[in-house]
Amino acid sequence: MKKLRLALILGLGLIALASLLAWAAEGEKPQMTKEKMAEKKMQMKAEFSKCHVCKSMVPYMETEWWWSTGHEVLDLKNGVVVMHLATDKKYLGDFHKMCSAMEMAIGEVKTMTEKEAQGKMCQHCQDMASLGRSGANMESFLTQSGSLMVMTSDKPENIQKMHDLAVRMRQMLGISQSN
Amino acid sequence: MRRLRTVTLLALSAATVLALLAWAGEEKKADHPQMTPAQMKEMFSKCYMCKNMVPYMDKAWYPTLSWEIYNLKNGMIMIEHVGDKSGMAEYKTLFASFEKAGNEVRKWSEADAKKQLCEHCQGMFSLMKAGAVDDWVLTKDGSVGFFVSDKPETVKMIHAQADNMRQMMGLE
Repeated sequence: MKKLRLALILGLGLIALASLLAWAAEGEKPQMTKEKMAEKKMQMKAEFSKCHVCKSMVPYMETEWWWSTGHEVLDLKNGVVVMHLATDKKYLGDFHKMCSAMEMAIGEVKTMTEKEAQGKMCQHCQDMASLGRSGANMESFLTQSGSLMVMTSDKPENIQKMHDLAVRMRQMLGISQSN
Repeated sequence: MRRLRTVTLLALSAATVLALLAWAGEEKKADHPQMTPAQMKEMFSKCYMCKNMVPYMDKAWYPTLSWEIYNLKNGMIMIEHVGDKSGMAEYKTLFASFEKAGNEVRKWSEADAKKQLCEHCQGMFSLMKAGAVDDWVLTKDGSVGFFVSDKPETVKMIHAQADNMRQMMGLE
């Protein structure tokens, strides 16, 4: 259940990042029109709606706070830490509510067979679920500023998978590990 | 190397918390509300790890440090936030000095550790000695550290240390 929760939260993080990047692109691409942004938003919503886990975020995509969620994806020597940060604490309650909805969706996914789940999740959530099945320790919880997920393993091949996933996440989110 | 870094940073966190609580004692009645900043500094100066914090205790950002400590099924995770972001550069220096001191402590015997570390840092040292895996990374507003183990008895020790830290920091 915790693994799925992690997967959900990661999925959420990725989505939030992707949407954030797309939306926040106005800073770097001021020529992006409102219509273009609205179109992108619609595309993202459509994509998210296809994933049993990610679709929990869709109702929140109308809010401004969702698009301003901050993220950090940090490599550990034996895993990865992913932090999602509600930049405006005023909406922390809503953020946590969304996380709970995702957790519930993950719980549902867990009752599905691997094949069923595959058809109902996006690639990112499938990757997370796959890590969980391969024995990685995955835990996530709500924090005072958002949520945090930590995944670790003592198997080098799992650690490599986690680090590869972290690279993809950072790339998707347009962030770097260096702080 | 990372373990020591973690220990160091953990010690730093705990010491910082202690100092913060003691210093800001008017607002939070902490474990050492009777201590003055000077007394806290003196206490920290006696611990090989904690003394790294002393040069920063008068900085404006220092009292803005805050912590979150969570149990993991196989360990614990600690989040440290620097409230005043202007202090991040100095925080990174502090982080580095803890890392350096931690690397030295790692070579010590338990007898050395007992002599030169405060009770809290001794607790962290014991976790390392028990084989806990640790890591600590800088974040945008502080750092995240964790201890994990696949041995139930070590996990129990980690959880006990986490309980002590939360109590010390008033995080219950």
